[in-house]
Amino acid sequence: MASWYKYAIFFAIFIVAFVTVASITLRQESNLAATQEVSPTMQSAKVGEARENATNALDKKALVANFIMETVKTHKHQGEEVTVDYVFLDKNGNVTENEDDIESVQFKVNILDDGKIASTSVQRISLIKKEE
Amino acid sequence: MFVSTYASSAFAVVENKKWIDAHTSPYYDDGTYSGWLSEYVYSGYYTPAQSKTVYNTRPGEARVFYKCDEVTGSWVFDGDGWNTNEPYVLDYRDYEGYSGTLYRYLTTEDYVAPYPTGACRPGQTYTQRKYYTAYYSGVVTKPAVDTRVYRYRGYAYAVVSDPSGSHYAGGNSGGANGEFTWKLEKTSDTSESQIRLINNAWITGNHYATRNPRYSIQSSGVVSQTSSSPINTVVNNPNDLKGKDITFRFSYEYTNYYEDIYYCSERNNKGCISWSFSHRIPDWSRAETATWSQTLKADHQYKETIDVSGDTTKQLIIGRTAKLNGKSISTNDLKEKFQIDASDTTLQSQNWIPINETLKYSSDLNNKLYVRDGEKWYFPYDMDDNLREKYKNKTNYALSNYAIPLRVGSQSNSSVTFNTADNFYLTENTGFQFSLPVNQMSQAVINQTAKKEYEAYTDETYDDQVLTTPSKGSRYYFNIDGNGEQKPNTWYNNHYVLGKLGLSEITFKLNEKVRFKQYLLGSPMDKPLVNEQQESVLRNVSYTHSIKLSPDQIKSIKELAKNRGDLLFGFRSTDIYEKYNQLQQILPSVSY
Repeated sequence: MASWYKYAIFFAIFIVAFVTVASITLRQESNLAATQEVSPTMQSAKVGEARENATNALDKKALVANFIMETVKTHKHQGEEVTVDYVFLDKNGNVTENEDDIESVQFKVNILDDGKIASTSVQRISLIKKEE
Repeated sequence: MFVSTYASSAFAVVENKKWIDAHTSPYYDDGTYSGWLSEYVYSGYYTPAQSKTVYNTRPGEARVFYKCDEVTGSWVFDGDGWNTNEPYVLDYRDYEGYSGTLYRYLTTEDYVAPYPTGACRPGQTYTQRKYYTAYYSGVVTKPAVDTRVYRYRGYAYAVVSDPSGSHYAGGNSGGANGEFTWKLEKTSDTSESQIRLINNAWITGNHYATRNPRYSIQSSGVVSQTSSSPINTVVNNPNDLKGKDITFRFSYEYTNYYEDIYYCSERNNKGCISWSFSHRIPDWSRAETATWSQTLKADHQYKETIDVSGDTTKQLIIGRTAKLNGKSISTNDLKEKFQIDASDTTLQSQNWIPINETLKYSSDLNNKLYVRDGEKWYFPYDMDDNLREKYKNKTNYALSNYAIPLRVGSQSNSSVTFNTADNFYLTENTGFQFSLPVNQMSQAVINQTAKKEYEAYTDETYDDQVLTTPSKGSRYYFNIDGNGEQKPNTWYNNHYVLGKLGLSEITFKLNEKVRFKQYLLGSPMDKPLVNEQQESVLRNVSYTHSIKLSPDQIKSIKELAKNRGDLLFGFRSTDIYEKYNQLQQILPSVSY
């Protein structure tokens, strides 16, 4: 019997811990899903350049528009403000506005609740060229 | 006595004779040799009668008497006195043996004493003296002397049989030079090929005489020519002879013997004793026939289609020739050679391959490379969706669903390069592909076509620029659609059909297989060359762009994002520039 109780207690502690952690992280997961489902880089690749010269160039204009629309489209919460910050980076991680040097873009999406940041999602995505 | 030998060489007189001398009768006959001989002075001599004219003179004297007439006392004639009265003719004979009669032909008075003049006395007389010379001449003769003894001499001839007959002149058993040939040829750059047949042998054999040269070219049902002179003829359609045997033959009659013909130039009562050469003729009774025969196969591949793969040289029979050299015949193939690089290609990714197919050419006949109208196609495995209908394979070659027409890009006597008949262009951002005829070089037209075709295909506004140029238009761009069938590291057929080339008017069907190692763009799961990757976040980066979205703006953008256009290739947005403009109206602060 002691053994049965002992396992039951451990199981109960596990369930409580799981539910607690899950509830804490629920809002964060929802926000992450909004950015991870989009593939703005693929939609924004300079495909002509890629076909012609096998480059991984990005179309800045398309990239910004695609990212914002995909972010908003997957945004599940109503009545909240969102800020989107982004920066274009070269291959060394330095900020650049030169389209030819852009290797990645880092987006930071903040969901605001009453003007305060309720959650933040940051990701840096790149269009890489990698020969197998 | 001399006996001649037979003269057997041409132009001689053939006789058998011996010399007879001092024969006592004019005719000789010893049973073998006979003939009339010539008289000659065997001994003695003969001096013919001679004459000469002789002149002679004799002195004469006469006296005339006169007396004195007694009446008149003058001198009167009293009669002639004596006179020597020289004769009118004289007999002549001299110590040389001449004799004859001389005739007085002249008498001259050398001296006449004066006539008596003056008075005379009767009884007085006078004798007048006269002296003269009588001249004689005449032809005197000396009789002939003949002590000759006659005999007979000359050739006596035996009867000789006719020496006419055959003789070996030297020589061999026949020889000929020349050629038996069939070969493809063209009369102009645009004409179809034809087959020329040549039998031009000529006699090189060493013979006394030849005759009846005979040339023939035979191929069942197509050619049957026989001639006494060289044959040079044409078969208009090479395929009439394809695969057939062509038999060439040359022959002639010869003799290495001649026949000398003599005629009887002198005969006697026993027969012909002298034969003279008349003429020389070939002895055709000993004629032989020399023959050369060679069968050459017309194994050309005119207007055929040949599969080619790999880096190779295709050698095609365009003729065969048999060289006649004396008694021997040596055969040679005549070929045209196409050096083709049809090797397979491995690309790193789904980019493009140049459509720049070059064939190098040489010919044993030294003709230039002919390229006639014919099938010229490139058959890609797949194409961009918007080009599939345009390049739908409507050819007779079931090599692919798509066929891109090719053209002759450049050509020399020894090479030809095929390029696409259309130039293919890409737009820079969306990678949209379109094509225009190669002769359309206007950048304005190119740009207009890009816009027109992009908008027709996507129903979206075109906002891009053409990346590629006409000079790089002869390319095949792989279809990079995410739903495309082609997979990495898989060989795909990549056919070219190139015709009609060379004298053979051959059509090559090349399969230059191609593969790529990686997709160009796609899901990271597929390990494409270019793909999206999540990178580690940079912590201390300063964001250069920032926008704030209100709930209303979010709502508007959601509406905007609902109606997105179709993705090009399954991943590239086609409407994004229009969307960006709309987005900017909602979010004026958006920038890039």
